[in-house]
Order: sequence, then structure tokens, then C-alpha cells
Amino acid sequence: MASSAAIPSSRVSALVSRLGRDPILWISVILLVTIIGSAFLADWLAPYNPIQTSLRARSKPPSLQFLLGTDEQGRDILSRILFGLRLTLMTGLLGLLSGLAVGIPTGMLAAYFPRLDMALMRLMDVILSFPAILFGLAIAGAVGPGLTGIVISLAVATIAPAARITRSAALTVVNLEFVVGARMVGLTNAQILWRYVLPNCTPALIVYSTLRFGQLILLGASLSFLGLGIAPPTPELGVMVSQGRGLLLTAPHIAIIPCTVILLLVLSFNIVGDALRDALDPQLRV
Amino acid sequence: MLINQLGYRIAVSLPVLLGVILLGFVLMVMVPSDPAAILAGEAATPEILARIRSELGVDRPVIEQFWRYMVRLLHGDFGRSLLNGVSVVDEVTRTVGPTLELLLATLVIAIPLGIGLGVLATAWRGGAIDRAIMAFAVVGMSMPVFMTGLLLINIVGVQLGALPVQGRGGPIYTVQGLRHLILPALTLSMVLIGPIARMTRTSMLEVANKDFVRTARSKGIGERRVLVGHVLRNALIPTVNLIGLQAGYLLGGIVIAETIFAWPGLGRLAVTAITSNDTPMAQGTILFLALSFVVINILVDLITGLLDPRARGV
Repeated sequence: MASSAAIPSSRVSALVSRLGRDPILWISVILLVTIIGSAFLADWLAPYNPIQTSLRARSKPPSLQFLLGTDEQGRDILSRILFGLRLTLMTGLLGLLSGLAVGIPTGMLAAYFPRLDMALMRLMDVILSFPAILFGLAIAGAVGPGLTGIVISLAVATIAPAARITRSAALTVVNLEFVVGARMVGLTNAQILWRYVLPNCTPALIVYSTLRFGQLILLGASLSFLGLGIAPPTPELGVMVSQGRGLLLTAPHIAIIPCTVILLLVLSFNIVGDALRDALDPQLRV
Repeated sequence: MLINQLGYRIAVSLPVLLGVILLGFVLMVMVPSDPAAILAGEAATPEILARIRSELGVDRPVIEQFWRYMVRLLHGDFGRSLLNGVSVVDEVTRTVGPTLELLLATLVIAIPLGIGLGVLATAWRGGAIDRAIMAFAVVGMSMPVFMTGLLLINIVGVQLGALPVQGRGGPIYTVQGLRHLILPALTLSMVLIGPIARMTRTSMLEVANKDFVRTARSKGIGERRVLVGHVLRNALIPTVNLIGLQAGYLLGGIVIAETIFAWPGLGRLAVTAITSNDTPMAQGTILFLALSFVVINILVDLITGLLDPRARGV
């Protein structure tokens, strides 16, 4: 059973044919690719320096010269959005991956070694009952505002659900013949987990990660918005909203544009995640 | 069974609270600023600083500090604000009322609206109304709380000038109090409406094919009564459960909504305390928020147990 066998090709083709019938899904995929792509090409695409202030071009509405306008210090919003997106996406990805790196092994160990199950899953219950934003607040208080605090809180918010999902997916295979057989021919536990158990958890984990990523971006942006994340002048979407908040009367675009970008990004992740779930893992309710 | 469930929840919650206390303590030790310097002000001599440090106990070994901290907590002493010397307990009890008001108003808006939308979507499943409601739900779930808040402030508060956007107007039973409450509560409701509507629809569709529903229909009961009296009643349990699961998001939403609308509640108190390095206040508010989260979850478990005898097993 190779890793590709864990995702039956019929499901993949169902997904592809759905893509043809569902225009909203299409738009979301294109939007995601565009947003992620332009964030990574920010160095080339950004028309201006994102932290260069200009006294003469303060709080300008969108125009041909500044496509998305300028903020209260005369910085080009489009350039700040592009660089801010990159930071937001990187923070989310780093948080997600570190969370998965702890959560997946935990879930597999719990499923594979019944003796560990109880202790590990109760530990996950404990982490799960700690609201993510509260953890973010506490971490920001402890390590001071900054990227580290946000990544840690995003990771912690990922660990427990990832462990639960991995465990329930792994439980369905650990007692099947091919795993028992692998044990009999003398493969080590680590080899069995890596080669046979993990591939069977991938569909559920792909769905989970996609749906979760949107939530992580929201969480990270919220923490930055509260002033617990990246410090100005570094462009970050939540920080940009928070700075534009005071100018809602005179220049609403400063706050509304980064908000809209976050909304579109999270919305696309949610729509694509829903479609992936319907196709790969209909049982999963995240 | 119910007692077992309650016991299990409390047993699981104790380590959470211990973790919060530990985290709160680590926060105090790790914060780079010197609390004595904040307390003493600018004119402090080294002698005064040393005296304050020994009064606070921050010159002792970390383990001893933790022990003293725990002992103080068990005596109900949460310390005083470094900024203005107000007792943390007083400040928390002062702000918890407005936060509960906001929470109550949010639930009053979000639960009927979410369930109502879910029922409507089920009644017209597959049609345009269904798709519109589900689109609204997913947009609501994807919108950052601060965006909902800023949009409502901009449109309802500023452009229409219809409702106040800053602060609390008074107790919840006065007109001013209610007017001030509407926008923050609406903002926070958006966190719940989408998930509730989706969950109501999903679980109603699951129940809709069951035998007892077919029996009800074959007895000649009207479609509306079947949907509400038979399908919805049995579909409510997962929805109640979901509200408990969303409590964490709701808590995050409260913190942001209170900050945006300058609502004098616990969430805003926590953020202000953390951003201004007021450690005792930060510890106290975080501990209290975590405690209330634990209590909410225990309550939801109990309600689900009452609604559905099958859910009572651990």
C-alpha cells in the first residue's frame, strides 16, 4: 500500500469533475493561487517600498498612481498588502507545520500503543480546553509581542485537533492484516508507522490542514490586531487594520482593504477545504 | 451518569487551571520590565527600588516565588495593578458584568437566528435560498471579527448615525444601555450564526430520513410541523454541542469586540493589562477568563446530557 493508495483515484476524479461544475470552487482555487503566488513574488510585484513613508501622499484613496491608495503615513497600501500577506502566510504555515509535527506523532502513538492512548489523549483534552486566543495573550505577555509568540500560539492551537484526527484515522488500520503482517515479517514499529499507518491518515490530515489554515490566519491576524504580534512598521495585515482603525471616518480604505484581503484568503481556504472534505473524507466534521 | 460526567470534566479541567496558573507565573518571571521600577515611578532611588522588590518578593528564588504565588492565590489574593494600585479582584468583578451582558445579548441574537437560518435552508434544500444561506454562513465564518466590527461601525454608526459605537451606555434594561449593546453583540453573533446554521442544516438532513419522520409524514402531519416538531427537535443536540465547541472562538471574539467598541469588559481589561506590562492584572484576568471557559464547557456538557440521555456516557 503506497501513499497514493490511501486516496482512491475515484475520489480524486470526483473532485476534478466537481471543479468543472462548481464555479465558486473554481474562483476560490484561482484566488488562492493568485494570492499565495503574489505574496511570494512580493519583491518583484510590489510597486513601492512597503515601509517608505511620504508626507505628500498621506491617506490617498485608490488611484492609478497608488492602486489601493496610501495609508496615514503615505505608504503604498498595495505594496504593504503584498509583503504583509507573505508574513501572514509564513506565520500561519510555520504554526501549522510545527503543530502538525507534534500532533501527528502523538496521534499515531496513541493509536498504535494502547497503553499510551489514555494518557496522551487526556493530555490533548487539556490542551484543547485552552482557548487559542487566551494562549496567544498569555504567550505574548510572556515572550513579549512578536512573531515567536504568534507562531507558538498557532502551533498549540493545532496540536490537539491534529492528534485527535490522526488517532481516529490511524485506529482504522492498526489492526488490519497488512499492519499485523508487517509486524510479523519483522519491520520495526517506526517503519510500520511511517510506511503503513501515516499514509492512511493523509486524506483526513489534508482536509483538516486546509480548513484549519484559514482559522489560523484569522487567529494570527487577530493577535496582531490586538498589538500582540509583529511590531510596526513591518507590514502585517492585522497590524494594518489596527492602524487604519482610527481613520475610519476620513480614510476608511486604510482599514477596509487589508480586512477584505484577509476575508478573501480565509474564505477561499474554507471553500476549498469544504470541497476537499466532501471528496476525500466525507465523515470528517471539523 | 451525570455525576460521573461532571466529575470527569472537573478532573480534566484541574490540570488546565494549573497550567494557566503556571503560565501566568512564567509570564510574571519572564516579563523584561522591572515591576518595582513601574511601581516606584521615575523619582525612585536604588534603596526604594530594593525595598519594593523585597516587598513584592521578586528578589527571591523562582521556586519560592511560585510557592508564595500559589499560597496567595489560594487565599484569594490576586495582587494589585502595577499601574494604579487597584486590586485585581475588584477590577475583575467590576468588568465581568459588562462582559456577561455582551455574551448574553450575543447568544440571544445568534442562537435563534442561526437555527432559524438552518431550518430555512433545510426547508428549501438544494434551492436558491439554501445556497444563499450557506454562502452567508461561510462568509460569516471567514470574516475576521474586527472586520465585522469595523464595517458595522462605519455603516451603521458613522454613515447612518443610527447607533452609538463606543463604550457602554448603562445597565442592560435601559434604552441607552441597549442601544450601546446592539453593535458589539451583532459583531460577536457573526462568530456563531454561520456555524450554528450549518450544523442545524447538517443534523436536520441527517434526521430527515429516519423512520419516525416518515411515520410522522404518513400520519398526515403538515410539512412545517414535521420539520420543526420532529426533525428540528432531534437535530438540536449537535447544535447545542457545537455552541460549546465554539466557546473558544467566542472568547477570542469577545476580546476583539470589546477592544473595538471600547466595551468596559474583562477581555479589554486583559489586553490593556498585557500591552501595558501590568503583570498582576494580566495574570488575574487570564486566569479568570480560563476559569469561565472551563465553567462554560462543563455547563454545555450538562445541558447536552439533559437533552440527550445517550450522550451521558463518558
